[in-house]
Amino acid sequence: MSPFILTVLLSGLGLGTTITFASSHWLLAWMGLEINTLAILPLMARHHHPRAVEATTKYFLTQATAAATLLFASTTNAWLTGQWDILQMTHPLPITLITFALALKVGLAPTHFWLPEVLQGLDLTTGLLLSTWQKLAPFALLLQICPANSPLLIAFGLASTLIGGWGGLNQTQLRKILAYSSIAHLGWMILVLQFIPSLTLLTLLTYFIMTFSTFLMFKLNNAKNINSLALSWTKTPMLTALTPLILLSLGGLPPLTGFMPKWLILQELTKQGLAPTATIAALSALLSLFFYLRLSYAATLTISPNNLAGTPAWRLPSTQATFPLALSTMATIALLPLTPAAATLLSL
Amino acid sequence: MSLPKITHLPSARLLTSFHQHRQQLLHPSIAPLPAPRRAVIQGQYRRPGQPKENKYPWQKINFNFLKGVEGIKKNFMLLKKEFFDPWVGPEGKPVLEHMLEQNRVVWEFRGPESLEQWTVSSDREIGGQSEVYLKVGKNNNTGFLYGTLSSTPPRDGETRYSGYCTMRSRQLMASFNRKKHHDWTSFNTLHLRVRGDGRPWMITIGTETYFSHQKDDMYNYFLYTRGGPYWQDVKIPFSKFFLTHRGRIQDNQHPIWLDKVNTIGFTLGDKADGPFQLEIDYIGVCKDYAHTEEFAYELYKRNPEV
Repeated sequence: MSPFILTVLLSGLGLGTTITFASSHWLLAWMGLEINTLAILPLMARHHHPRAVEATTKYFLTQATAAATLLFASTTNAWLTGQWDILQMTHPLPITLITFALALKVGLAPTHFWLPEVLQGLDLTTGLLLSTWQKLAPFALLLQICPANSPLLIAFGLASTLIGGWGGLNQTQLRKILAYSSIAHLGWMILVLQFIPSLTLLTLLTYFIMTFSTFLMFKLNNAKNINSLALSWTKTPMLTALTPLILLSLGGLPPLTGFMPKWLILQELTKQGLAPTATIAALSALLSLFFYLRLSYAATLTISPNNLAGTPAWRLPSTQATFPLALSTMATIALLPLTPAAATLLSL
Repeated sequence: MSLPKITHLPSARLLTSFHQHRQQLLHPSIAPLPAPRRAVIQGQYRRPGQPKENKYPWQKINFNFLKGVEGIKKNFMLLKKEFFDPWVGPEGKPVLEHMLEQNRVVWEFRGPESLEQWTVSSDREIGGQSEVYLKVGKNNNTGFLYGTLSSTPPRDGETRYSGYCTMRSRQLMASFNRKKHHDWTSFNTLHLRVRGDGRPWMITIGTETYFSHQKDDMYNYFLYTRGGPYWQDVKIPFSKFFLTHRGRIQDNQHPIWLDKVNTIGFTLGDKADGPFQLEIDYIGVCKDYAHTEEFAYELYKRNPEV
């Protein structure tokens, strides 16, 4: 793609999220979301492959629906309360509608059906953008409206963790696995939204770091399914040694970083008297952990058949810059000891 | 000076048939149905190859309670399989088996029930004169596709070329008639064992599409058969398949994505009239570790900026 067009599109992405962050008026927030959607569409359809165009179309339709619902809800709020301020939403109907709209934007169950197909049709870089950057703006809005609708959020959260866990079990395509992993993590984020919104933000940022590492690792290995991930030991043995740590961090195992948000969320849920919810969430994390373990097993604990009897493959080394991956891998693996600092920041 | 032409009167035969038609409309339950009647849904153009409409729509319904019960049983068996397969592993196989799988036979012809997975068609549907039949070969061990090709175009005023015969696999169905796809991402080569008659065939792979204008998108490659009594093992890498739409090769090419393959087919249209036959033992996919080509054709950019 021409560097000028790429610059314009990436600036558009940045602009959209920034507008939504900085807005206190619903129309401006909606505008930021629309700019984000429109800016990423050419990036998704860049390769002109029919599957990429299909993914782009599906993404556009779902995001447009969500944006329209958001606009409708904010208009309803303006009608009922007489003002457009995001922080001043008091009527339950617009709050519920907006929660649905933002759930559709982000890919929470039960509005998650588009996410695996869309991610499957994209290349890994655009998939990374979709999984990380495109979640910032809707979460900024979710954090501000502070929905007090307890059963709805708990239902979304539990449904997402369960569906994210079960859906990923039958997959061999890595991008679909990452889609279901995204759904599961979003479920965890929503569970605690109404109690400590800053914990949602911490979970979101931790998820970003872990997903960033995972996508870059898959991109370096040019791996799109389990069988090609199993060949990573021939290409980058050092990274293959770190692969299970990255994946298990996504799964939330101590002593890796991914355990931190889960721990704090379970603690908060128990304090709020939602022990059964916490139990179901923890058990559904086991489902997700199973397929992360399966990926780690395939990548590191097997010597998959390949076309060389010996070690490093004759394939040319990747030209991808390794510094971002190195940095995010360290953050994915080693940040658990910072939990007290994080807890203090969140004033837990 | 010639007399003006008498306007053509409808023939008496036409008038009587019209009269009979009106009679039947007035007393449909009393008068027995005649043999071919004029298009039941008046106004629809009937292509030359289509059979004549003989029955009213409500006469085509076939209520059968036992068939319904069998259908329910079949769907619930499929649903149970779909539910319990992920417990074993992805696609119903343990993950080690999935990783080690190097060959997979997808279609094989062993017995008459394997013919149900295939459908044949020829240009008879557009009014041509080719014939094609599919039967099980000797010892119930092969599938035998045979027939006669005829390139005489149908006389409908718009078709200029004709003469094709094709065999295509049916779409896989999950429970309750949902579409299921073949996932061949672990493989990179198509492996066939065929015995032809020296004619050049075209293998067509149909993948899952989204937009309606992609309905006729196919990925094609040639299959040159040797005649003769010996079986032929054909291995075609998937990177060789090129994209066509309604038989025309497209300019914008891309490699085939193997994660949602719907159908495979064999087409013959080599303009040589006469009988043909193709015997197929099995169709499988395999992973050739030595094959590293991603796509065989240039993906050059048209109108590149200089």
